Amino acid sequence: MNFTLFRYSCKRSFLLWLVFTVLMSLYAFAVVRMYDPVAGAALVSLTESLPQAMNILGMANYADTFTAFVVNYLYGMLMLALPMVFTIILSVQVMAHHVSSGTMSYLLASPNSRRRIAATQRNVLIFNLFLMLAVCCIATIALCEFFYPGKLAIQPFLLLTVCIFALQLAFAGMCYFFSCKCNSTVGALIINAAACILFYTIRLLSNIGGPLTYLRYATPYTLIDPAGILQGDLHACLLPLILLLIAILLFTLASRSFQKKTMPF
Amino acid sequence: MSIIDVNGLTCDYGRGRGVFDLKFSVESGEVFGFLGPNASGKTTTIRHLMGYAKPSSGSCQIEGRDCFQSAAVIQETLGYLPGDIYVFPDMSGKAFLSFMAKYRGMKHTGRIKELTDRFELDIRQPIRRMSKGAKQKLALVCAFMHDPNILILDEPTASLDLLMQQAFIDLILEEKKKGKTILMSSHRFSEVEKTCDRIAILKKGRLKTVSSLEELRQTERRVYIITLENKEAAQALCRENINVLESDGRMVKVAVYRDLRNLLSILINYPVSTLDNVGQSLEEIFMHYYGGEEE
Repeated sequence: MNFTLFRYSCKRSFLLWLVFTVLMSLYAFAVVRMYDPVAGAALVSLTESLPQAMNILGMANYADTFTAFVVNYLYGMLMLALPMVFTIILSVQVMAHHVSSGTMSYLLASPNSRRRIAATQRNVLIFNLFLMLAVCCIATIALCEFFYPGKLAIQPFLLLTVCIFALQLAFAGMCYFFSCKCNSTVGALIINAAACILFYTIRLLSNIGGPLTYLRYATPYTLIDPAGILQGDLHACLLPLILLLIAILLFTLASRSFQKKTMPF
Repeated sequence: MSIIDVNGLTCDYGRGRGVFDLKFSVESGEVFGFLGPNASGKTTTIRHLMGYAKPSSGSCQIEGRDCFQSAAVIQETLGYLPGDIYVFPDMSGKAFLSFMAKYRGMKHTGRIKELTDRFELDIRQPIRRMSKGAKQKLALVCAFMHDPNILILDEPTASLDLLMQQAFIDLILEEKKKGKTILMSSHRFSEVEKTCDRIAILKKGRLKTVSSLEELRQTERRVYIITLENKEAAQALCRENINVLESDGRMVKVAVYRDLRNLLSILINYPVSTLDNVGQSLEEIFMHYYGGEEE
């Protein structure tokens, strides 16, 4: 890893990171403030009356504990989608953009090997994601402790966040791989967005139930079972390890493809 | 051992574009000119030397190392000037140079100060607001700042004004004295004429010739237009042992290879009113190699 490049890339991505992190923290704030034991009961009845709709949105695991509430709303949708969008943009910015604009020619015209450059930019991506989830997680815990002290089961919540991080890493691996493959910024953005939206849609479809349930084997989201993780189910806690393996594989493939590719400039 | 060694390099882009079976070497301490019109394969060759592209066949080596496999090691002692101007738009010139210096692992600022002074470059302004010439100077500083032993320059003076072209030539001559090995490409002969020891001429991806400047000068042909006092004298002159290209009335067009004495000794016996020189430079020779471009 080259620290000068790492610092430069982080500096460049900071504004994007800040916007997304603030957005997510605000969302966390809204979710925590939304909690109301009375309304909680209302939501239970809503889930009972509209199981289909809540199911599709991935918010069906509602139980009237505070932790389940927070997790359901936080990790049901927005906390999955926002880091995904961030990953799509950042993965392209750190790699395909340099190749497309030709600035990669300067980066390569140095004693830093392609492997090292790929590793540095990969670390930028991982570091940004880690920091984003860490800040949001800490913010959520702090908000919960402030408004409803002692009600949040912190340990399972942390464990779940780590698992979500593994999920985001798998997506980051995929986006980084396409970013390394593509020579144009736009091309890489489109492929990344298409792939991510595809997996997300498959998740929504598989939640509908019926024959479409089998679709859940075609999306990495299935490897995360928030209810199971919260209950400390061993199986549910080990599944995200597969996501980690997928991430490692994809990042390795990305680096290899970058090392072998012919540059367009 | 040669510093740069290209052996049978081929990279076919289709439709006759690319480079085909290129073979040349650049010796230590040599300034090597790489000439050819646009789209003749100069930049393609340089891309291979830089390790940006993998040859489909053949090999290129720098200091005995494969350019693609060992690019990072080679780059330690190599300076490169890209043919196209790519910029980090969010940086100032100063930030860019100090970023590149640190990124390269340089302990000091190297020759940055000396070079920016030499090229009269204002590095405080953001790169995206720089003129084309300023960006070119910035890229030049970037190529030379770590004092590399080998330099690969792709059309180094393309956007420089005449004064800066001269400054560049001075710099190349100084580096040459220090024993640096330099490969520079150009589509204009005048810019390599003053600096290069040997010149390769490239056409449609194939090497036409590699010869020293001296050899090229041997084939240099100068054309003179001689105007005589009357038509008869002109006709008589045409019968002399000289290379007449054309004659029209009192005017005779003569080609001379290197030695002018023969022509002068003949002319002394004729009533010459004017003697004009056309085609001063070596460009003519290149036109000879470049000829048939339109086919």
